[in-house]
Amino acid sequence: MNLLAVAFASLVGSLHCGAMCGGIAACVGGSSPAGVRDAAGRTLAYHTARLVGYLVLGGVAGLLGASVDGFGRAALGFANVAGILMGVVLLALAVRQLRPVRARPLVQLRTGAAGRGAALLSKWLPRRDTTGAAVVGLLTAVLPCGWLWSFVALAAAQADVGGGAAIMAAMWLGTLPALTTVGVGSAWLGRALGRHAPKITAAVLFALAIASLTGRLMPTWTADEGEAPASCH
Amino acid sequence: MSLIGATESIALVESCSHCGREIAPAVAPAFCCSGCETVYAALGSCGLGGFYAMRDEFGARATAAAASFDYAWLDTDEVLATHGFTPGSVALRLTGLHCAACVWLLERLPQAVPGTLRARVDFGAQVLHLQWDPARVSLSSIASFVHGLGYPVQLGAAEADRAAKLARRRTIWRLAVTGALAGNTMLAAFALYAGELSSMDDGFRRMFEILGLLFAIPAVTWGAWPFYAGAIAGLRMRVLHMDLPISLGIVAGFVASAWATIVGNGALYFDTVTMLVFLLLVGRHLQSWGQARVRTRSELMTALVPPLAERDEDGVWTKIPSDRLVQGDRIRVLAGGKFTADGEVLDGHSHADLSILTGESRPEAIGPGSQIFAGATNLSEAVELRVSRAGGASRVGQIVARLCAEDDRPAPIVRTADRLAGWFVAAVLLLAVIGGLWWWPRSPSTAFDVVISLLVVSCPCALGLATPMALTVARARAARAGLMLRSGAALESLARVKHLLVDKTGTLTEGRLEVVASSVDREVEPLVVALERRSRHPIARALAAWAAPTAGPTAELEGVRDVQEHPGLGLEGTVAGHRVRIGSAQWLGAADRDDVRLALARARTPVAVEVDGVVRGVLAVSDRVRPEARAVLERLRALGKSIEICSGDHPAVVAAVAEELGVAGRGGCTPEDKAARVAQWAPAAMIGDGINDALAMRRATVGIAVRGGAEAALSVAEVYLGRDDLDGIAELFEGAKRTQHVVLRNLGFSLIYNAVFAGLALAGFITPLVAAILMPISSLTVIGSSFASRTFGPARRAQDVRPGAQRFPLSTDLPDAMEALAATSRGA
Repeated sequence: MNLLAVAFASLVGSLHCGAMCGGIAACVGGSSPAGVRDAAGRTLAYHTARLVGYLVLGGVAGLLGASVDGFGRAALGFANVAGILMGVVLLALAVRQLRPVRARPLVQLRTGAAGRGAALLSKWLPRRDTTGAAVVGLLTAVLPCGWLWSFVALAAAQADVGGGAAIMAAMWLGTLPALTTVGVGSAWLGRALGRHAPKITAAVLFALAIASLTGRLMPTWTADEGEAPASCH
Repeated sequence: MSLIGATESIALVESCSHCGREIAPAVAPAFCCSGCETVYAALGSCGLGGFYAMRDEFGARATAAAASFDYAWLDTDEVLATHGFTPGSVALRLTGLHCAACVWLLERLPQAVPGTLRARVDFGAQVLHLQWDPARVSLSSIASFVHGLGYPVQLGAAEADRAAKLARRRTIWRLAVTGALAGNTMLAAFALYAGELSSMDDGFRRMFEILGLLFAIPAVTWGAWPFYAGAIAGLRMRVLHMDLPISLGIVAGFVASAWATIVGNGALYFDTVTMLVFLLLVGRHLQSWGQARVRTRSELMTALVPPLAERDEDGVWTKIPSDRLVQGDRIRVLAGGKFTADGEVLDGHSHADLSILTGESRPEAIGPGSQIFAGATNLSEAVELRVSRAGGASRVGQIVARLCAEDDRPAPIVRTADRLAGWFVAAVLLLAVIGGLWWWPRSPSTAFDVVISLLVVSCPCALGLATPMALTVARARAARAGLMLRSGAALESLARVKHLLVDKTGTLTEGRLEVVASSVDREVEPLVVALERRSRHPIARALAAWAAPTAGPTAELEGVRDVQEHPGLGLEGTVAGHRVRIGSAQWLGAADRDDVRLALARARTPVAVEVDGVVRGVLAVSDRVRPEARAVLERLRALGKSIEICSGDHPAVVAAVAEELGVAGRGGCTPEDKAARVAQWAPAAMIGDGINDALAMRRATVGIAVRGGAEAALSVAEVYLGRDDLDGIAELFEGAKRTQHVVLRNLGFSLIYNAVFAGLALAGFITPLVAAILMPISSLTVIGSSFASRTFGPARRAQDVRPGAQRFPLSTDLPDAMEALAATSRGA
């Protein structure tokens, strides 16, 4: 099953998730006077909401991919246009990982999407309750994160609503270990592997791009001409 | 949200302030992407910015090991001085040494780190002896490099003990967890095998496959990490480490299985790979345990000084390790025991055998106030002493330290492993590729087994161990038998030697010279005594002792000056205004005198005395041939050695002794003559006095010193006989020959093992698990073989006694004429 490959790729690259969202996860799931059960509840709400957010993202991306595919088939006369397009996008993202990164100073925050996202997060993060955690989880799904959007591109390449959602579910599964050992573990890993993190990420993206370009990540039911989708569990 | 406003807090950063990713230098805080920027701002604005401080604090704790990479403190001279080192030379304690490969790798430091002059590893003590040029490289840089190779560095014993304890605990945890993972992977595999027979549901099959993958991930990452660390360290040093094939085998097995699991097609080897890692860890643990038995410095110390001492603790005699004794301790040594520390006798009277240090086996009487040394034997009664120096600080401890430090020839471990390991690993990798390519079209699963088995079974550890193991064990055994070798390489040289040049006086003879006849005027005797007391030559001592009773108070003549010793000729100086020369008759132009001819006719050494240019008489000096000399020379001849006596004594005297012993003899040799002769006969050994034959010993393939203090002897000779009998020389060569047999046996076994099992692996007859079991067995066989071989020691000595070949009563064969001349002398 290709979804396992996606989950594996997500797991390998989830070092990034730990470093990026580790802080949020640590604050959401951190201990409070209400006790461990409360913290566990918030953590569950956060990850569940994140999953929901990813599923929606994947579904929408799949739908868009199907449209692109349909357009490609009608206008250009060949299939898997979305797969090829997204493959190219993933390749570009892989190459970008390897290029030196220009620093962004904090002063830019006052404007733009980043500023709005930060404002929303800062509204819900301090609430320290299940609802707040769930909202933060949903907001995580729309963070301007390159890694996350790479998988969205992959979901679009599926050209199928279910396939796209499944890709994002697999991606979510791969991020779980990193985000449940949030903060401390990821900080240590980040320092230990920090220099190599972009290369690891690029390698994963490159592998996914190749898989997308060659149609290897097509949903099983699409490849098998319309059979019912098989459960991954 | 705090924006940059205060100019005094401006700082440049080169990593993302949120995720840590490398970025171009910018004013802090700076980010790699807008995602990080968003999260950073959100956390800051709702008062959760403390997360970063907490993360860094925990991160710092988690990276404590990495932080220890910082060895800047080693660059402080005071720190080195506290541990008794000076800049340029240090002994660093290591953790993580586990086999010959580590030694081999670390001893190549001078090639890898410019400015490192010399690196020698004492495996048993887990110490790296390092010499470096402080002007070119700092010690902290070298230490960091060594740490990066996987060997954390300590300076003090306490820290090293702590680190070793932690390392042991980590090893045991790794073994236990990997074992548990391997067991669980096997269970999952059994379920899959059983499922194949009973048509298991696809969902269950998938579950067990994924379970296998999950169990295998920690086993092949964390469990197998020591092998990867070795392989990576080798690559960093640009050598093919013996862990490389093993690592490749593990990774290949895991990747193939993981891929098969992901694509849902292909054979799974998770059970094999995890069990392989577990068995390899067990094997490495066993190897480590076995090799820790091979100690260099510590083994030598144990051979010379008992490991336990009896210390007075509030009136109770308590046994404690000898190296824990400190100055001022009161210890007890029972009759027949060895002294465990240097010190002053407080109570009891006894006799001590100090031959291990002085080469003199005559018991020395000791009582309250006497100074005694560790390693000496207490012969008659129990004594108590106050410790002045113990362990490495004792006299024998310093000798052992010097023995190890002066082992400046390339260690056998380096030479052997250097020659073999690089080529061996390359050959194994090539064979694995060929084997894999051959088998793949026929049976991919067999190809996998063949490649993994070959990579694992062909470990060159046994080859690398074969020589150094045998030499180190033999060296320690030799030390226990009173034969101290400056290096393990000396044993190899001893076995190679074909010719032996033997000094006469003090070597084949007892060295207790006495004047047996004299034609010297009585009034000259005080001058003889006064001058000869300035020399330590055996003949000088004999002359001084002979004339002292008759010389009276005038023997202490004032004004002895311009004393000059002419090696091989004699001594001259000005005594009470007279120019006095004492030495060989030829040197003094007295060869034609009748008394000289008479002494030579009776195999005595004529010593002429000249005062103010006039020969005033001749002294006939005699020395008894050691009773065991003839038997010992016969044993040496039986080993195929040709022997020649080479002495500065008169040719006629040397010829007489040589004839007596049935060997060739050459007299009248100066030290230069001896050196030239030994060079001409190379490979040859020079056996003689540590001081007088220094030049020849240095020129010889092996120098063997039989007299003098251990420290002085070992400064010129490769071997020092710490006992007062010649049997030691025969034992030395016999032991060296036996050691060579052990070396060859070990090497032969290793080569045959590798050839046979590599062949079987290539042919597909060995599974990876069998290979993992065989690999440590090969190393342990070599270790066992070295320990089981009685190369030196009492048991071997007893076996070597051949009827009629020993204890030849030479003394009874001395010519009657000598006894008659002695009587004449006593009468005079």
